[in-house]
Amino acid sequence: MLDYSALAATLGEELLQKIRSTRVLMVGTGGIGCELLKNLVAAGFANIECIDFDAIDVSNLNRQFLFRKAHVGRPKSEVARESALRFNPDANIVAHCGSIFDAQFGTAYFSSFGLVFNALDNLPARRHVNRLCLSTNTPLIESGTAGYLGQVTVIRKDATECFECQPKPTPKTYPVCTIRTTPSAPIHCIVWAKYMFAKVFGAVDDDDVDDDGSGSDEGGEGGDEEKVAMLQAMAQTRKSGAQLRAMDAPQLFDYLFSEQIASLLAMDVLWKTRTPPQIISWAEATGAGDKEACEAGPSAAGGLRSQKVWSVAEAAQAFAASHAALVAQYAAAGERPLLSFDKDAADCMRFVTALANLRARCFSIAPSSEFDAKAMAGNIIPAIATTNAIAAGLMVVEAVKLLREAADECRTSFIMQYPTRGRKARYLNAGPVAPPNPQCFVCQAQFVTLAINTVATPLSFFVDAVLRGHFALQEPSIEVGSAVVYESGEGAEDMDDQLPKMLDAVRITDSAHVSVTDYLQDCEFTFVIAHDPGLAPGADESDGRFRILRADHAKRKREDDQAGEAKRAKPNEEPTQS
Amino acid sequence: MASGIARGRLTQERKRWRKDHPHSFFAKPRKLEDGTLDMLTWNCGIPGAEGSIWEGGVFKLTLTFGEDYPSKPPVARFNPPLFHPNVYPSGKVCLSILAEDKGWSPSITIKQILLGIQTLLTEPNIQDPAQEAAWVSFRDDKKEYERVVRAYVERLRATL
Ligand SMILES: [Zn+2]
Repeated sequence: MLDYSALAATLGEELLQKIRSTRVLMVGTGGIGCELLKNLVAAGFANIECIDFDAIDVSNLNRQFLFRKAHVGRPKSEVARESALRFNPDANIVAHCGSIFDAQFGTAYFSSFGLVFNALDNLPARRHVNRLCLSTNTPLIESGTAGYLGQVTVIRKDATECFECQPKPTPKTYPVCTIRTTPSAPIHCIVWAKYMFAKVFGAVDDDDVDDDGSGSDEGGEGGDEEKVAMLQAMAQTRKSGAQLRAMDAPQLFDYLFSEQIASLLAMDVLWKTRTPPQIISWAEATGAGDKEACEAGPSAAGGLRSQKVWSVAEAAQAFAASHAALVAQYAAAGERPLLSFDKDAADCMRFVTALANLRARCFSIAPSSEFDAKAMAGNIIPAIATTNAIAAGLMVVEAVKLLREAADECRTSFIMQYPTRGRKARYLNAGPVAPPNPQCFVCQAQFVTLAINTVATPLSFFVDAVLRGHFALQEPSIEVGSAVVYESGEGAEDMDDQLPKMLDAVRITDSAHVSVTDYLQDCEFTFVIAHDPGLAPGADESDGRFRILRADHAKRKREDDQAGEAKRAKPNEEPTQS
Repeated sequence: MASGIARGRLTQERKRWRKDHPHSFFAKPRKLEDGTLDMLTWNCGIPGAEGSIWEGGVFKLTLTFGEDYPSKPPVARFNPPLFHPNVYPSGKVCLSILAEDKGWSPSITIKQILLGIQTLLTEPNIQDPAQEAAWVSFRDDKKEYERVVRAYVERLRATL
């Protein structure tokens, strides 16, 4: 039971009343969310709604302390609510198991809260919440952690920076299609190899693979036809972990590098613009008839220097040897024989390097040395419970400042891995909250000048890569003058037949003013189009096909004009009273 | 090109309508040849009120907005024209809230206009005749008026 008298003594009766009565929303009940919900309840917050679409996984239990083994498989938000209610049964907690992008969580919903907390781990959702808070003028307390690093800040419309004022580094996830069917870089092969390792010997962990396929790599290129082919390819080549484990090394090798590649090759549509992959068979890789020598594996440990790039034969040998070692380890592990990927475990790393290299050879990608592969494969940021706990604590500190109407005392806090140098070594550093970036198209600028090739770029690219991708809109509606060029979302006309048309065929021409509205996020801005024939339509990177030239703050411009006029007026005219 | 004000307001109207509109009504910008939608001309449908002689029909009309909207009201026109005392032979609707010098106010929404016209169907305004046949019939022989309307609705339903 919560000791309100202690809270009242600490916070004061008035502030405590405010804390108890303010309706707050927290988005995400995972790593940070569990800590935050516990903190909120303990600090006296009594009107809380929480949203999370996820279910509890075994791998969450080491840091998401509101969840226990018995809860695995149940919705995170519901269990978090049940557990938190035990701290304070009086609290009114509403749990939603759903997606924050759902229309029911729109502006009307956000307007009903005094404060919003972001405890999310992905950029699209954080950008979405940022926009809803800006459009409803609801203060947002934003948090993020990565390993030992963490950050907490406060976002208030027009008073502070918003979540999108500064560009964010793109997250390290890869569209599942790229990983499974059309790799083009060494890292794609490494991610795939780790995935296969997990599938054969461990618990499958799809974390590195963006399963919604919405990653920007795909750009607007390739139409539905290609997407469908990819999905078919993926579906056809799926075998269970147990099936893969039952294979011996040559069988697994042929399954991965002959059979799977062959079924990918059959999807002609994938290889219209890409180099088709090549099949590598076990017999070919190991030199037919020389099997015994191969099964001995790359014998001497010193024989393979970690910096050396293996030949196909060497990779095949390393594959067979590490496979044998892992099979033995798996069998020896007993009751719950799941091996987890460890870049420092020699067999594990060798297996992943071999798989990645063989796949790279299939797809004409430069193979990596074991050393390089290790650097890439090991680049996984662990989730650390302590960092989450510190971040969640700071969030409540900032929330209390807002509730006692001391917004100017709010700080951006950084949780550091190494202490700052100087007399006072600090792991926790706080600084002032930055003001809005006048160039930010989300919270400030309303006019964005966009360079794009209007005669060679289809509307689908503009909608998918520019609006949904770069600008993170959910349900864009596009108007030029009095014409609706495209709309999407609830109640929209089906205008998908417009998508294959080139921009200039749907009125998006040089110097057109294109108004884009997102009903779900309640945000609107105008693109001023600059036709640039130099932006090649075939460029691989979606970013190469358009450029943001500038962003202007229309409102501010108007104010400046007025200020300018006032200044010009002053020297000549008598001062007027206003 | 529409003035910024008209465009902005119509975008807002479209947004409101998409979020919420009365059952069985429809209203959407007309599709042009290039596949875009013309925000200045909306194709709409008004269902006859339940329990009235108009019940069972959905009556199509267009709303045409000018550059000066919402300072000036849109023009509402039934297509095909209706047998109704306040509908001109051209199909144009005569209704006070659609008259600039009478009941129009820039704050009237598309939803209010369409609901207003639905009410007008069942409650004609005898003071404002727009077509002779329906007006005379309504004034002098209600039974005959109702019979003609019902027969029209029947025919309309048969073509659906
Ligand atoms: Zn911003």
